[in-house]
This record gives sequence, structure tokens and C-alpha cells, in this order.
Amino acid sequence: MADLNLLIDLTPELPVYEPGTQLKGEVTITSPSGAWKAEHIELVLFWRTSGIGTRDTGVGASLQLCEKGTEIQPHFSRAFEVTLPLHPYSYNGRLIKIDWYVGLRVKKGWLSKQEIEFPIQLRPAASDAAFAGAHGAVGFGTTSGGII
Amino acid sequence: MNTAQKSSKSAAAAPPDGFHRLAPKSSVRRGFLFAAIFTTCWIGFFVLMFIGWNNADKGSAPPPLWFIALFGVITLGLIFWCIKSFLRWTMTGQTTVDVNTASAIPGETLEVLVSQPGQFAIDNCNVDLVCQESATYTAGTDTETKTEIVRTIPVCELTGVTAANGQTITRQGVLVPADAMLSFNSSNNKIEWLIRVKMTITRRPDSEQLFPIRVLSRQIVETEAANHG
Repeated sequence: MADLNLLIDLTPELPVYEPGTQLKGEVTITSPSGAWKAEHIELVLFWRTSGIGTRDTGVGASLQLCEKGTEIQPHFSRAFEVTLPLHPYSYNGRLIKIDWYVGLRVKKGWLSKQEIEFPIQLRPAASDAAFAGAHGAVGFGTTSGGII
Repeated sequence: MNTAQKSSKSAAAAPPDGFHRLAPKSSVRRGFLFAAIFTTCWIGFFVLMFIGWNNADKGSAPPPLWFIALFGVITLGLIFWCIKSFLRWTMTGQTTVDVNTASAIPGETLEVLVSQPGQFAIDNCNVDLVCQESATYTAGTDTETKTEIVRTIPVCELTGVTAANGQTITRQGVLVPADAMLSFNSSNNKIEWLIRVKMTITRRPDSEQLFPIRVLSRQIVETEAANHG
């Protein structure tokens, strides 16, 4: 049941993030139904392949934003800072596509689990022009991915 | 016999100081062994099938002619493949590629040395740095892998060179593109950089050999070096 509103804000929000640099931002969780107890709130930086091959995923970094059983106020906000992995770069090839996401995973109880994903581009800025020219630019969406 | 046509082979010399020898993706010897084992199994299956048919009841129908012809054509193709692999192993031999760094870095020059055992004239030799994507997927009950070369950076094109018992036939520098995707390997998806050496040789099987090389960023190389002391 999607009863929480999840939001990830990156500061600054850039079209491309340099591997090895700091990614800063803030997560906001609002609960219209009042305070609640969290099983866990986790910020995950992960990649996922798509294309013709079977999907692979990998986690670059993760951050626990609260202890298990913490009572969360109706408006929860927490700043974060994580080091971006060096590898793999975001990629848009012929058979393989690699996308990076900042994900927020919230577990409220046994059956209540919510996640959002925010896509980011991870690669050296130097490769940007050639990447877009050779493979087509990758568009950027909303500031708070969809609930999955 | 002309000296240029001799097939005398010598063990490839050790790589020069500061150079690293790249392992071939599939050696010519392994290629021959694979072809030989596969062909032997195929012929064995063919023979067993016919023994089974001969021992069957008199009333059962013999195998149709088209079936025998199809098996025969495939068997001949396999024998041809086996002979070609054998000649490639014994007459052309295993090309060796040495590079000046264990990991190529985008934006930097990679030095490539190509050596060839035996003594013969090479009509044409193309050396390229290629990027290949491989994706493994399941189709029904089968697992298949599709590969595609997505980028080719020419290193050199030589004509009229001579293999001289493992001596270097060419030493070239190639600039690894600054925007090169780094090598990537996950369970089902792979992005691989390879040195591809293609040779056309008179009266010998043509040769195409691949040598994987890691392409990593300087930051990763330095981090790996620090982690390994």
C-alpha cells in the first residue's frame, strides 16, 4: 500500500556525475496517516543493465537512514552524502545499457514496502559529448522516480 | 622449399621489460582440440546410430536418404573445420601480443607488440583495438550469448611482412579514446576490449586471434595498486 510519499532531491542536480565524487542530497518522507515505525529506511546507489541480455544489478553504495523500530514523524527529512563509485559508467550500447539509480527503500512492516528510483548518469564529463554523439543522449526525468 | 615457406616454429621470447603478455581469448591449440573432440563425438554418434539401425528388426524402415545426406554433409564440414584448425595450429601458430601496461587507460597511448612464430611471408596483417559487447539471455530452455563489436580503433595495417621465429613483426602505439567505456563484466553482460590480429598468409590458413585487455580509469588503476600494496 503506497501510503507514504517518498522524495529524493539531489543538490546540485547535474546531468552527469563524475565517478569518485560526492553525491549530496536529501530524502523526504511524508506520511498523511501520521507517525509510523520504520523497519528500515535505506538509500541505495545501484546500477542495472537492460537490453537483450538477462538483467544484472549491482550496488555501488548504501546508507541506512534510521535504526530498526525508530518512530518516524509524519514529515521525515534527512540529508545524505555518498561517494560515487568509480565503475561501471552509465552506458548506452547496442546490446547492453547500464543505468545508475539513487534508490530510496522504505520498509514499514511485513507487507508495507515502498521504493523510488532516481536515475543519474555516472561517467567522466570528458566522455559526455562523445557518448551522446555516438549513442544518443539519455534523457533525465523527474526529481523523484516512480513508486515501484 | 623456400625459406619463407618453412614452418619451423620457435617458442615466443619473453616479453620485453615493462611489457605484459596478453593471453589469447582462445588459443589456436585449444581451438584445434575443441574442433577435434566435437568432430570425433559427432562421427561416433553417426556410427552408433547406423549400428543401431543395422541391428534393428528386419521389418523397420532404413533411414531416409536425405537424412544420411544431411549427416554426411555436416560431417564433411566438421572434418574440414578440424583440418583447418589443425593447420592453423601447426603451420601458422600462436600469435603473441605484448602491451606496455596491464590495463589500458582512456586518453593514453597503448603500445602494442605483435610477434609470430614460424618463418613465412604474411601478405596482410591488420591489428585493431575493438570493443565487444556480449549479452547472455535465456530463450526457452536454451541459454544463448550474442556478441557484437561496437567500436573498432585501427592500430596498424601491414603488407608484405615476414614472420621470423617469434620476432616482433610490428610495434605500434594506439591512443585509447578518452570516451572509451571501461571493461565491464557481470553475470550476463560483458563489455570487453580486445586486440584483434588478422593475418592473410599465402598457402596457409588465415588467422584471426583475439587478446582481451582491460580498459580501466586511472583512478581505478591507482586504487587497485594501493589495495595491493
